[in-house]
Amino acid sequence: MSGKTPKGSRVLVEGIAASPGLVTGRANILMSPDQVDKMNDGDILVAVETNPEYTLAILKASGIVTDLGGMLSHPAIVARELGIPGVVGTKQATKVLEDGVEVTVDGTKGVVLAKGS
Amino acid sequence: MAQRVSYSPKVVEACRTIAEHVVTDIGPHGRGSPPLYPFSIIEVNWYLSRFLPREILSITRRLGRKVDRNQLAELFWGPSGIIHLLYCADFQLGGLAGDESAACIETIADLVALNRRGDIYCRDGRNTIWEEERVAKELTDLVFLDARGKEAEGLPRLLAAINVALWEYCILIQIGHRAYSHEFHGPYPVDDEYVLVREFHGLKPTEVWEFCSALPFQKLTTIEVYRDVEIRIDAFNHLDVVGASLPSKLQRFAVIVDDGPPLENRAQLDDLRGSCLDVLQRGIRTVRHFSKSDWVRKLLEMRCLWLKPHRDILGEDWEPSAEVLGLLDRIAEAENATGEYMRGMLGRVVGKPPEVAVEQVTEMFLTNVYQEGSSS
Repeated sequence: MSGKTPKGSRVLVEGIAASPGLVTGRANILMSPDQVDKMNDGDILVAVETNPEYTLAILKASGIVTDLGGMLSHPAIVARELGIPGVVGTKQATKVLEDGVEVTVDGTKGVVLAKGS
Repeated sequence: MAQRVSYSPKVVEACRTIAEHVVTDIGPHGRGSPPLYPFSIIEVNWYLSRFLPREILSITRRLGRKVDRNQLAELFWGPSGIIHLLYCADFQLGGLAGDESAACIETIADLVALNRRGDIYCRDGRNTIWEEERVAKELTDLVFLDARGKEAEGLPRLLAAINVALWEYCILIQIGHRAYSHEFHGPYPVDDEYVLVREFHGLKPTEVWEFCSALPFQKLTTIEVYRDVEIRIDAFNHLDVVGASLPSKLQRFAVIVDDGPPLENRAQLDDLRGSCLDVLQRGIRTVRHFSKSDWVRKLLEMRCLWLKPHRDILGEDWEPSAEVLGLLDRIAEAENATGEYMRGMLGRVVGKPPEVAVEQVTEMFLTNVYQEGSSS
């Protein structure tokens, strides 16, 4: 999970750096807890917000990105507990990121980057 | 800040602490919005402020004639949960008149002090409940699982998954509250390491949530030893980790289910994880189609159930009274009050330096507490 942000990477969304680290994975946008079965191991969980009903998806995630939330929000807390990169409060991750496309989450800087840009 | 001559220093300190958290947690200076699952925690506070401060004051006074200090401490264990009652100052304290209202705040602070050592507001980033001797004894007497090395691969993440699953379960059964059914305390410095303790308790409130009977234990304690990481816990049970991945800094840990010996191997931890996730899923299925009214009813029942041990000693019924259940007919009022509170609160903090915002919010809380003839 450690590493440097690739030089020249394109920033897709910015938010609050909630949980440090760097990870690349497939963005999986869940618009409601009814979609938790859509999550695969290692995906980046992208949601408006999270709550206990997202737990099964959260435990599969290698990173978390949300539209809402701050440092004490639910997604921020679980990302730190699990030791996975987390970027919250992006305002628009669920709209800007594309479902199924690989992205890089930099939880130390609070940005989500296009992979290989 | 203009002051009445007779503001109690203890009440001022409590109100200022709440104000600091409100400004830093939900204000524009702050770390984000208040918890919103299953509905705004501020609205939760509106419901609780209608009856809980009055009940706490009455129960504590009557218990004082029947139990000693140690028993009182045990009844009110879980200082983070107790201190959350201070948020009832968001709204007027349920019809308590000025001096009684202040007495209630003082009582809450005193109840926290029964169990929390040092600064009851955890301004040093530590929630100190155990004495040094207790920490040392646990580290000596218990057999810990090593979290480092090839054989331990995956164990830190497995422990984290158990902690997350239980935390989510507690939030669900406690209607979004993050300080009931669990208390995180420490970090306790020991040589160059830090000990973090998580105590999950009262995990089977089957009087309110039938599905909880599926959980095979009532309480669980983890004792986790870390190195080279800054861990902070605030007065409200928020655990913060600065600049590092928590699992990567775990050195060793012990997991104690009910009062048994520590779990010994990965298979037992896997089983535990499975049990926690199973009961959480049952809970999620239970609430999946809940209405707002369903959630509010559970909130009222859980807060009344929290006082069952106290009521048992007093020979009283724990179930919500007709008056308390009457709050189910005031959902629209609660939503309006919450909206007005947020507009008023943000109006006090937007564009102001944090220290000015804190003073103004403190004054607002003090006015709420000392107001005569407050509404119910």
